[in-house]
Amino acid sequence: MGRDKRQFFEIIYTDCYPMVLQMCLGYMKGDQNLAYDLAQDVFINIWNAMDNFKGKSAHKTWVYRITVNTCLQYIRKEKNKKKIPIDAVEHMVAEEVNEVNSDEHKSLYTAIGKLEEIDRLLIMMVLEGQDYDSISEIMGIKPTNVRVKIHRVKKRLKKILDHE
Amino acid sequence: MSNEFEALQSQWQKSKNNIKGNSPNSEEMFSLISKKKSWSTRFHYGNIIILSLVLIGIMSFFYFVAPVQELLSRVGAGFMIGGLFIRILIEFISVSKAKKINMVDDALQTTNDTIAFYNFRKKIHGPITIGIIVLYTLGFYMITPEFSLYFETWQMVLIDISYIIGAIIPYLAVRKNIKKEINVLLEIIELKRAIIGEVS
Repeated sequence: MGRDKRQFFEIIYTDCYPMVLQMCLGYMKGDQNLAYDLAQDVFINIWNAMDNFKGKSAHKTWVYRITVNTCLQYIRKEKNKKKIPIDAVEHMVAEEVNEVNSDEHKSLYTAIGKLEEIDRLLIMMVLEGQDYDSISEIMGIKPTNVRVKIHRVKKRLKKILDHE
Repeated sequence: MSNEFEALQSQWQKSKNNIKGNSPNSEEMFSLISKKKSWSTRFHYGNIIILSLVLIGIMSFFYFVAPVQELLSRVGAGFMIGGLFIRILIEFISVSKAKKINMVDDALQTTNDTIAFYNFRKKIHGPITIGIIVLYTLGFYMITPEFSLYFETWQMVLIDISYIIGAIIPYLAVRKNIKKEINVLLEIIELKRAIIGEVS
């Protein structure tokens, strides 16, 4: 079981890491240190939940759920907790910090970061190509509600980008 | 707007491809999350460990150093030990409730579970913790008559004053925690409104 779990984790990790980190970057307004820290939390939660993965939904939808929930919990949880010793994360951050954040990409994350928390997550799932039914399943709200919300968020994002 | 959104989508995809080429390998991530997981476990059980050490200290004091003889003192010692014991039990329940928040549920369900958890925390920090501090204080003053048989009056005054000062610190800590957790609770309630789309 231990070996299978590890193998499954590696599959999910290889497949989903870019998506997870990118959502974390958007959620954290492009702050890379926070995004890496948050992405690690997402993978800890994925590891913890793996024993209960029944395969009822595609593993990507399952990862989206965990990513969305971890993002929503992150800021609140951090308020109640001292920061993890920095040496636990700096190794990874140091390696990548210059690679991801070109100015062009940074402006995208900054624009998304100007939206409300929920709106950030919704628009990122749309950018990821998720359909309304999947988003509704991930968020726990009706597809019609999702449609209306996304329409509003797109308008808001356009306004933000036009003003930049 | 659809053209602009498509442009945004392609920018998003480009950025993702950039990440793809720079992902740390899974070994590296695995060792990082193991480190972080063990740190998080220590954080969760930190309160329980500290309270348990205090409990052991008090029990040892009454057993080895000052085994009180009178009924009133024994009841007092029982209140002090019992109060701490209840607090430790509540911390265990709290950790188990926190662990039950399922990150695999949909966002609305997880938010509802988090609200329930913080409502529980609010109760702990409010009436329950205050009740325990009162019980502990009552126990302490029930022991003092017997202690006064062995200590000078000025020593007893010093012990009483030091207890009062000592009680102010947990009181302030409790107050700070209540404020912090109520703020978190309010934020999560606000978040729930945002998810279901209510206008606040």
